[in-house]
Amino acid sequence: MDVIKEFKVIGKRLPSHDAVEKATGQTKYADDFALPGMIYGKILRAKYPHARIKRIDTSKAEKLDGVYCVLTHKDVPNNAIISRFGQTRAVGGFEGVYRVLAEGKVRYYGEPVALVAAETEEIAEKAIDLIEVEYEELEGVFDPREAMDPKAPKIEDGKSNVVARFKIRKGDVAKGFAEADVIVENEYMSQFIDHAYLEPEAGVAWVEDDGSITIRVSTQVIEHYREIAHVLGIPESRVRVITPKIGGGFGGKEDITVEYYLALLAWKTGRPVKIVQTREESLSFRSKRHPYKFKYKTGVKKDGTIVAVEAELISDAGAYMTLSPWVLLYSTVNAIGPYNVPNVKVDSYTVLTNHPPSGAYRTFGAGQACVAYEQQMDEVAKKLGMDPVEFRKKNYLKKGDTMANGWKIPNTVALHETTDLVLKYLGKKPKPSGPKKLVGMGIASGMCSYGRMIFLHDTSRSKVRLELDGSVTIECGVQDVGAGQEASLCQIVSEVLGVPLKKIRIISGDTAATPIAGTTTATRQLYMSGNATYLAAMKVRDNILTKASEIFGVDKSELIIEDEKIKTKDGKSISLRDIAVACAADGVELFCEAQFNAPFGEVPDPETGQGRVFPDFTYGTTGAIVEIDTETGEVEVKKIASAFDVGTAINPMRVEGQIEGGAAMGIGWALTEDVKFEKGIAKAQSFAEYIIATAVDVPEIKSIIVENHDGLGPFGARGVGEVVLAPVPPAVINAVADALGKRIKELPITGERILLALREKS
Amino acid sequence: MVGKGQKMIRVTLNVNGRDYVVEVKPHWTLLHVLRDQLGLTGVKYGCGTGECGACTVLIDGKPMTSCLVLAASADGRKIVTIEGIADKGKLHPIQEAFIEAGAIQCGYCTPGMILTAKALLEKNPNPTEEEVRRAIDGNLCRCTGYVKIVKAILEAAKKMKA
Amino acid sequence: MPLFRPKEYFRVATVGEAVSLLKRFGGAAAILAGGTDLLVAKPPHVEYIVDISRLPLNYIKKGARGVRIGALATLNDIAASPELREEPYDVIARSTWDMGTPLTKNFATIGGNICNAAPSADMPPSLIALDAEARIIGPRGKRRVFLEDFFIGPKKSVLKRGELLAEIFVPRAPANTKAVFLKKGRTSEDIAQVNVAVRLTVDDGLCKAARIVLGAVAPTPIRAKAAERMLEGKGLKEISQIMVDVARKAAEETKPISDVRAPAEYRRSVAEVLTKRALLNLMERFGGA
Repeated sequence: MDVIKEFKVIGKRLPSHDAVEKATGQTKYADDFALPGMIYGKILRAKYPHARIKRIDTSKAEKLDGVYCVLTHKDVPNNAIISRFGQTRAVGGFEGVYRVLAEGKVRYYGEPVALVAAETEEIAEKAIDLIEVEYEELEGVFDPREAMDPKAPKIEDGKSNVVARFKIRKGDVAKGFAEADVIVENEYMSQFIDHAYLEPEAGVAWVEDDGSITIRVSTQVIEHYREIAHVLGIPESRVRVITPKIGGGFGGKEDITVEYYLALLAWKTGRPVKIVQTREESLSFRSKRHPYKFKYKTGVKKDGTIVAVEAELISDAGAYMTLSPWVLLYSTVNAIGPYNVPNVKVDSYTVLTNHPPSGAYRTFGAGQACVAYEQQMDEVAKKLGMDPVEFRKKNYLKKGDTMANGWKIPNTVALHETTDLVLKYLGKKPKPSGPKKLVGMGIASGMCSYGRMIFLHDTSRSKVRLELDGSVTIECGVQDVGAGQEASLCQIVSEVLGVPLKKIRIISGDTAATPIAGTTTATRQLYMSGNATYLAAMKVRDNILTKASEIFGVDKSELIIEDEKIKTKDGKSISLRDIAVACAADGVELFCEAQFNAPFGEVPDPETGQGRVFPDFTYGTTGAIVEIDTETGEVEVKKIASAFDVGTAINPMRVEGQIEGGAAMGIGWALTEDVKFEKGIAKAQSFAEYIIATAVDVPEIKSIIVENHDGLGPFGARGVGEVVLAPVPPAVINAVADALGKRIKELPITGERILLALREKS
Repeated sequence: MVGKGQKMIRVTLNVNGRDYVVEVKPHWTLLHVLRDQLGLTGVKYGCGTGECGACTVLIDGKPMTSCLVLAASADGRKIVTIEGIADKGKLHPIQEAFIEAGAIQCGYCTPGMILTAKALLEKNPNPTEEEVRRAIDGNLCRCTGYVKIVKAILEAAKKMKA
Repeated sequence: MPLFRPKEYFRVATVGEAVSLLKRFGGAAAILAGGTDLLVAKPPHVEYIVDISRLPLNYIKKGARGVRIGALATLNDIAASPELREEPYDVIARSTWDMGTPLTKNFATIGGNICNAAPSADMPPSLIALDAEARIIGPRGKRRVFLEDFFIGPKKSVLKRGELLAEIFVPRAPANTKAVFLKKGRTSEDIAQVNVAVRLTVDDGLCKAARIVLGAVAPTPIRAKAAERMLEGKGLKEISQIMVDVARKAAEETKPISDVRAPAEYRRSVAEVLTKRALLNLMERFGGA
């Protein structure tokens, strides 16, 4: 990587290549696309959270004018399938059955039961209304702890509701607690959160001339084409998935959304089919962030050294297992946070209930763990009578330390630096703005991996082509959720080949046209596809430099590339256009593909949890200042500052954008967002009930970038998209606790919970 | 057949300076007609209940959520969508400011956000940060935390005065 | 679930036309003014839409007898109206501030906010506190109802078949009248968890008239009459001393429910706090605190 010493493009605040189209409304998102003869699909959803299906009668719907087909599970070639996420190695114990359409019984309120395709959306709606389903209601279970009871109703008949459990055993916790001067025990919880991306799930599918199926859908994982093929019972080569620009993902478009339904309806009717879910469907029935129940026990010495942590984590998987075991493993590995603890015991469980399936959500379980361990850090500091910052600093992980899973950290952990920067920015805690007001300040540190779990053996591929006029085409199967997945690749190629951004085009997200680059999840695209694209660009670079060295008769190392030219030290130069033509004439390759492999490993030992799980982590700190109205319980966030060591910022403007967006999302998690299920039914069904932060609710946010240049991404970058959220909720929660002098251990921290806490205190 | 007996209404919509005569059903929203009849897909569906602002258009100069406007009721109104604010291919200063400030991530809220900003700056060419935040209170963004959006609007105000 | 599929749409040019259509279609008709409630609710029973948005009812006029607000005045019109800057009418403008979004307020109307009869609506408390009346036009001509008596339950008003709310009349307030509106939602644009309007008229240092009107704490906006009685006839100094008790009494008069926005207990606590703060605000403005 040290070939390029001085950056001309990397680290610059350059506008993204696709911003003009987005600013003018030209970008065609999933719902902005149509084909001649297109018909519309709708989904009939379960009216009970847990019920036997006694009868489905579709005859009236089928007879309605304009209806093309009505499908139930009987019409799905392979209705029960094992859900996988991307081109992964098959790893036992992590994958569960998923049903395309409910069969025999429904397991959550809103579970898809039947599909309709009709000439218009309105006819499809009407047809849905005409399908008769007779149910026999079953007892449901809505609390994961209750669902663990062997006597609890079973979601999958005859099987335990506990679908995964992990352990970490490091050192000897009994010995650790015996050495401790102070022991602190607490329970915490985190709630159901919706992704609330602005673009609801949508797509169009059609049958190609050769009889294969193409699905253009808003997804973070185009590689679901494999599962779609399995559901249809056709070869994988006959399904193509394209993703246009995505109107926000945050993990919610990681598992299958409407792909199966689109594929089935197009397959059965032979017509192009569109499905757009309503906001109500998205909020009420789509996957959510896993709620967790935590128990923590921490032992410390008087001087603040942590000697032991014991934790129990229970997550609500919802009605299908989907990604829950993986999310749980993230929480488990992250359970003690970025702290050096010699004795650790973690037990974690994920449990099926009659809620919609929980799924991936920015930080993938690391965030929930951070909510718990960072509250616990403050509670321990309080009991010790120690400043919470000082207590953290005493225990922060550093290079060379060993994490709870036995992984020895090979690179910088800049938490002292990020915390100092945050504190410096926040300054002194301000005075309350009036009587009946309390001010609080809180900080939290967090970490999140980038790159997928190494036992999945993750890879990415990318192609870079120098055109004969000196412009460049990149082909890479990334899915762009808006965080700059494409733009970063363009910037990398611009740096390596000296071509201005406006002459670079990227083609992305198409399983038939672009090299498979893996999922846009796990903060992996800059790391994985950034490296693959870098390698591909370097191959092109090497080829043209070799040619130029022949032309000029100097060694390659004597040549530099800049301003669309290859230059020698003594002032001679050749344009990229001319060198491309020269290479083409001699058959030198100008279209290079490269593959990047993450480190490969194995599943950690199930009894001890020992073994490396992730390629690397990104670390950082958030600080928050809040003011509370003690009479109404209203919390106003006055200031947020967040600092992360991002290794190298490919584009600081985009890194700031991630930090700022993470801050706003984290405020909602701490204070207002709650899907609020009651007996399996979501109470928040619109944005009038599900409250996300507006421009007025968001305070001054300071984003601070630290660069130690030793990440595993291109040019030493680390991933940033997820970690920026992790410490925000606990920082806000800790600030509230600081203000109140009492901790609220349930989320979100609503006005009523604040008043209750104040009443209990007095 | 659905909608049997629903009486169509002929309306004239002036959109981005051009008159369109369309036949609409009584319950069709302006959002639906702009997207599905007129092909103006820069107007986005986000929630259908007027909470998110992705479907914002200017009606007689004022920003409104087109998901809550009946198409029949918009007859004769002057409507501006995101497709109508660049001047002969030259971007509007607010569009430029959004691009340069990095105010666009996924871009789904962007058209609505820019139109709301345009209405604000036409009424109040010199807004404070607080006024900008209040004006876009009905345009949700889940990606950016609004920091760069607010900055872009303030920058655009400066540019437009100059 | 049946769907919202009205058969016919009528845009009326006169109030008379509207009344005759509303009479003809009765419960199968829905009035469209701004549409911000109708198109969210999408009521499936509606077969006819009567669009009154072009009627000449979008005005705010101040005369010797009081302020007349046309039912089609939008919330942003009200917020910006020069006729509503002076005390105590400023409280009407203030009531629009934290409601809906800046976008919906460009077409949501005061008439719609009232006729939708949501217990949490933000416009009614201030208007009731100022003794406003609803001016109704129907098949049998015009009638007037005090806004206080207009609501009979959640989503239910006294409007009969064929009737239309045409105007809100706010009578000229006696000298030395001030009013305040306060609201608590979860965030800046939330529907009220509780709202309150308090108005006092002071003469010779004594409270001549008091109104405490609370929203989102009962099936309709309610007046806390026992609390009002505690204020009437009292001097400002005394009011300052009994404020906390008055607020508590007002909260006792509420009958809140628990829902997704807030539990009943919380609503009652906040009703008390907002009432107290409203009184405190008025005392400061009257110079009696």
